[in-house]
Amino acid sequence: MPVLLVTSDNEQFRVEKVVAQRSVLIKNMLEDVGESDQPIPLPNVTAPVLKKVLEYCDHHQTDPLPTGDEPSADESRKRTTDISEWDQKFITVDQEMLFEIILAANYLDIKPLLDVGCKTVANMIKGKSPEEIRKLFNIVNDFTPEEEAQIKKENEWAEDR
Amino acid sequence: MTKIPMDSHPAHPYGRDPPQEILDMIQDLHTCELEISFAEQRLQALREQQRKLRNDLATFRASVAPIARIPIEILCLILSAVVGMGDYSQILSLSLVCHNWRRVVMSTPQMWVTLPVTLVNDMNHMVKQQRLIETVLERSSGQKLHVSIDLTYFEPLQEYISSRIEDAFPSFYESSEIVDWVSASDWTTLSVVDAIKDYQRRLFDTLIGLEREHIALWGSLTLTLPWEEGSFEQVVPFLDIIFEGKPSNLLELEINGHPPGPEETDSRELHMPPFESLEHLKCSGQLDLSNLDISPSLRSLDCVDTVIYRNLPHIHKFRDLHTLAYKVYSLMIPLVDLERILLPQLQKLFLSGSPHREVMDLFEAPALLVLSVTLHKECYVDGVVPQSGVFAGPPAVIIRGDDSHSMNKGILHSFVKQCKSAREIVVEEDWKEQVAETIVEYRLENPGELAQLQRIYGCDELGDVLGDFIDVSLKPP
Repeated sequence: MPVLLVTSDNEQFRVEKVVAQRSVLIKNMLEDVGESDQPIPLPNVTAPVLKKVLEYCDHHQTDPLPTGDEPSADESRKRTTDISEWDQKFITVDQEMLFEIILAANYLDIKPLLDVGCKTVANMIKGKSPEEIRKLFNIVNDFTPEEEAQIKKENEWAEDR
Repeated sequence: MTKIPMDSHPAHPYGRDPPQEILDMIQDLHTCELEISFAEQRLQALREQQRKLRNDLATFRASVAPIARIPIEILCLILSAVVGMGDYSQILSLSLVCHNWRRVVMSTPQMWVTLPVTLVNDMNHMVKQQRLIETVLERSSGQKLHVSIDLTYFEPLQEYISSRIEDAFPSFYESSEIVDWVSASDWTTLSVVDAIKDYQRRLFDTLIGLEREHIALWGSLTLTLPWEEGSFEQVVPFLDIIFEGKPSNLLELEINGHPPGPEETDSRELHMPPFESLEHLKCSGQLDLSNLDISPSLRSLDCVDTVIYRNLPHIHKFRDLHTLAYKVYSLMIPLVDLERILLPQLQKLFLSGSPHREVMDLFEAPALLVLSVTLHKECYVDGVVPQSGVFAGPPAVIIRGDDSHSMNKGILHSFVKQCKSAREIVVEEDWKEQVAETIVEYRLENPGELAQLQRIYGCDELGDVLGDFIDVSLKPP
């Protein structure tokens, strides 16, 4: 049975229940309201972003759902920044859309998508200097030169290891 | 415009009554200087305004930048993914981006749980190691630590001192004379040797904790041992310090000895305390761990060229074991008595080196999800495996080989036959044609069987042979 989703910009998306239920938020809503034709409002997601999110959910509709358990510290440690080929193509979007997808995945509670988004940003950061990172994300350097020198001095042990 | 009174220039260089022309020029010069001063003040004010506008604009752009919209917990996830396996030079870069990022880095203990220690004789390096250990212990705030100790760079002290003397003296003859002199005397009495040993001891004291309070936090330990003659013996005292510290809360232990390969050397025996909570054990490199006392809570065991087989008759005591990887590169090492491992809970089995007929018995393991068998050319087994038994078989079977010419048709046929309930088969490049042929032959001889097979990875160009009944378009995962 299809589910009707309504975005913040008032666009409607009719999707298969199995696809919509990749979102734990929507799954819980559907379980709470039971069988109903009522549209599900998603006030924190715009239509272009939901379209992308649904593309992901559709592709991964047969994947096993992640368990409710939080990953252990060990699992988190072992988690690499590898992303599958399809996911990589899917997430090749501009920075604005990338962060919108991350926010939507967080709001809709789609852990694997959130994971892909975070890994993508992590890969963008890896190996870059602080100045390069600031430039990449439009971050203002709010350290004084003295503070910067102090931090570098405190962390000399981390250099050239 | 203001007129300059004459007495404003008391020491007038042009005499008591300078010509009017000179006075006019002085007046013009003064006017000019005043205008320059105004202009400079204006320029400075404009520059200040420009700087402020630039800052405001940057702040505004930063405030509307996509990354500024993400909540702190997502920033934590991202920065943790960047750091991954404890790259502390990357952590330093992250903490220098801005105050906000620095706060996240400093207040996320999960980013400080990796403790990589490399033991060397160099004092400067040891001072940095000491700071690293202290910093990690402080910032990880009691989280479980993942400690790795690499002892492969540890050169014997005498060699280290000789190389330092050679570095210090540019003349070869001069340095070699001193090295000879030091070597001839009792070099162990040199104060520098005492200082290095003291520092190494201090390093290990910090790592373990005077009351063993730090070693109790070790959740995993990866030990990388040297293999060269002389080096191994040098590190044994440090191994003793670690094991005397009793890392009793270890969940994961990995010991890497000799690099894996067919080269044979004598196994080196390690004496370790009983590990009461160990869940994952990985060991490689011709080590003898046969006396190792492992807790029954072991969940995965991965051995490459490690003598652990004397433990295996007791493998049934590992009630939670779900993954077993056993790889031997030499037939001289006794093989695992696989019949002992008919564990109902075994989910993943990776075997390499000897495709025994006993492997077939493992299809009896009802929970088996993945069976991976790597066949090596020196591991022929003649004859056909037993025909008996109708086993469910695991849903995924991985067949690998290091030499396509060594393929034993009888074994492969038996594997394929045993894949009767497999949904997926993964085949390595060199083997795909033989596997495809065998599958087609088998299907012709046994219509209706292999009905559940949905995918065979790695055989995409064999679609015309296999495409009738299975999806061959997928690459190996």
